[in-house]
Amino acid sequence: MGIPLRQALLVAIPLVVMFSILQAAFAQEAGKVIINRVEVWGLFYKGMVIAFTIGAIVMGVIAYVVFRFRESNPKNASRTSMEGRH
Amino acid sequence: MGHSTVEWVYVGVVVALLIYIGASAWDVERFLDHPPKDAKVVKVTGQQWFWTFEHEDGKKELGELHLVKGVPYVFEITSRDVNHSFNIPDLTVLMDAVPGRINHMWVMPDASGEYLIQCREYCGFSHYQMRAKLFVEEAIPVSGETEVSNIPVSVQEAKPVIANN
Ligand SMILES: [Cu+2]
Repeated sequence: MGIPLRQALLVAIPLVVMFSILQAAFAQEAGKVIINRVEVWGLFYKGMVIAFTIGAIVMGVIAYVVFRFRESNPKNASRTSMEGRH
Repeated sequence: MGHSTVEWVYVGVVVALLIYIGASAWDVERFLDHPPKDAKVVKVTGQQWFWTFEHEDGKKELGELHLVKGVPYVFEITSRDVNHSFNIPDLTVLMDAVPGRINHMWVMPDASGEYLIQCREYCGFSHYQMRAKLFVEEAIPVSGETEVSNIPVSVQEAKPVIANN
């Protein structure tokens, strides 16, 4: 079909091998006493900080684009001269 | 610096953050999936519309659960009738109780007190009041005993530490 078997295997085999190695490696460490509440909320706060950081960047870019390319901006009044560019 | 440079930096930063949060989540889940070896088993059974508990020593409780602070517990959660969900909001414990299946979740209560247990999966008429009380008690050494060796390692430390092996 779409993907040749050899290429599919080239991707699938390392993935399977890597996953099982990682799993075995990390299984050794598991069983640690943790405080559920602290870990879960810590993860949640981390996620929120990241989500809001990316959100702020996206909103900032949108605000910039809207302001920069507004109709009343003198920079948008004329077309760029292409003379001598090619 | 062209537009594409800025865009690739942006894409790179976002991908890095996603990988970072994904790895953190995986890391936490690994520990949530593997209870410590000295964890005590508590059988949790949900049915319309109350919770029952059975301890390792055979002691049974209805509508109330008594645990000791600093001791890790594994809940073996199941249901007698329909789907329920075992939730202790303050301890971030949430696991479905499914008939014919035993789900595991472990927790180490780190502060004594009284906590709410609430069914978190709609299970019929009285679902909203399918609650129980969790009492977390301070670990008290058996009177006359100077040794505290029978108390799990986790209690002896002021701060919970890694209990390897
Ligand atoms: Cu319910």
